[in-house]
Amino acid sequence: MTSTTSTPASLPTLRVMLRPAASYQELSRLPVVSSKWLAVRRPLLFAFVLGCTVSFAASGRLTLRLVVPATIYAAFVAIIEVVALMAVRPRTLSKATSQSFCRSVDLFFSGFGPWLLWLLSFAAVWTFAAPVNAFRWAGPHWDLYVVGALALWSGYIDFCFFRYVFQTTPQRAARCLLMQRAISWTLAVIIFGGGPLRSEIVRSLGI
Amino acid sequence: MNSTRWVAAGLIAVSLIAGTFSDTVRKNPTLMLGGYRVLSADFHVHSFPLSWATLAPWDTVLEAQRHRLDAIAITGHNHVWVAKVGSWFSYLIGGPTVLVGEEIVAPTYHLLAIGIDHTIAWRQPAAAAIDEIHRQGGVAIAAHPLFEYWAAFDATAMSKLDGAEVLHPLAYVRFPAYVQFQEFYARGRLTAIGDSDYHGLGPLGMCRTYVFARDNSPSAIVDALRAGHTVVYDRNGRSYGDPELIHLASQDPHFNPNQFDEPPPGFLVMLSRVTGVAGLLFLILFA
Repeated sequence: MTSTTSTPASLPTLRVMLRPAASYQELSRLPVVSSKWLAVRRPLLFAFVLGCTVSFAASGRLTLRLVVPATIYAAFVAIIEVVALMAVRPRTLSKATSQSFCRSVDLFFSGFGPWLLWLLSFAAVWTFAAPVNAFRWAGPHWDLYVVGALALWSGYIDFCFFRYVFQTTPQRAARCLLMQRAISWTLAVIIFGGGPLRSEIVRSLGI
Repeated sequence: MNSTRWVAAGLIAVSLIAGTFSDTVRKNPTLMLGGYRVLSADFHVHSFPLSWATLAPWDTVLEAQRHRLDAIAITGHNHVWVAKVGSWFSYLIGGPTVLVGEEIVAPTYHLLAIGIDHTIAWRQPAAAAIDEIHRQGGVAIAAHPLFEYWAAFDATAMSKLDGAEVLHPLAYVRFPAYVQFQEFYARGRLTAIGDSDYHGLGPLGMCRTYVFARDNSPSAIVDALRAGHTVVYDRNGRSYGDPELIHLASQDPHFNPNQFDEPPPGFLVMLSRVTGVAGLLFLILFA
């Protein structure tokens, strides 16, 4: 390993956010680091940031009363992401590229920077702005545009992950991305907002 | 751990300590007016899961307590079991009164069913859903009645409807919504309701209803809603509801119509906010 390459343990999320293709190409050439902690640390960070966002949005501060339980509930989102990643991981190719699953999880979650920054900005709006202004600036309609842009950005990052870490063809990487999204987002929507789903589908289709 | 991570961890630790110590419950003193107990309530509250909400029912109950609410209705989207969990938890800890409710999300209308026992189907006209709510001993309240939902509330449904949200956070975001809520409320003899449609964002009880009930039991609150014994105040100083009760409340110096106002954040809260956001930013970018 040369001094210019980073180990997965020290990879800043920022680099993956800004230069996903180059970062993942570089990482795919690094020797395998095998540790179970790798499969846990970034999913845990994601759940913790989600838990902190819940606390900020609800009470305008970080309080253990909300951060601890919200982090536990938010872990289901991280688990869903891992399950979806497991489902689309090309097993034969992974052997060839010698990527351990724990390392795959770590690298995959290092591409969550755009979502984490969005959560933080969302938390900051609800924390520092007056409630009426927060509703105006970060209400449901505003979110749709931002989430749409984020989905494209994070989609490109994850495409690079599948392309270079799993060393697949662009077509196969795109298929992995779509399948991973279909599994994880469908499960998340059902758990998080499944109550009115059938009614909303009926309304949208005009049945 | 490198130095950046130590800085991030330190900032987050300071934020958690300051935030946890400043997280106190403020209780309303019991207020009696004209023989009624005045209760501060929010009848449109969602909890995780299934309803696009972030807080679990027990956390929602604790948050209601913190915002000095005497009563809430947890209104899951097309289900009641989460509300029952919240009600059970609040009973255990001696928290605010939690009414079991449902937001019936139908393709053409949204209707709050307050004080019911089991889920009411969404695949039926509004009038039929209201009949079912009444059969279960509950009250039916039109949720955020924007113009697009008006057609579902035909003459039959309007004659059976108990109340309408005349105030909802949308009223502060979109002026047409503010006007439409008031116009819908004026369509019939309806109980005035102010609700926050809480999904875990912002203060619970940001829009609230003052209920004049004989006590704080669920049945007394439902009876008061059915009788129209409510008062709602918006941030523009306008009041809605029973004129006699509005007059009664205005005469009493102990009655505070602006309970939705958050107290200005103190030093600990500001410390928690600034260090928390900064710490998380470091953690995200350099983790």
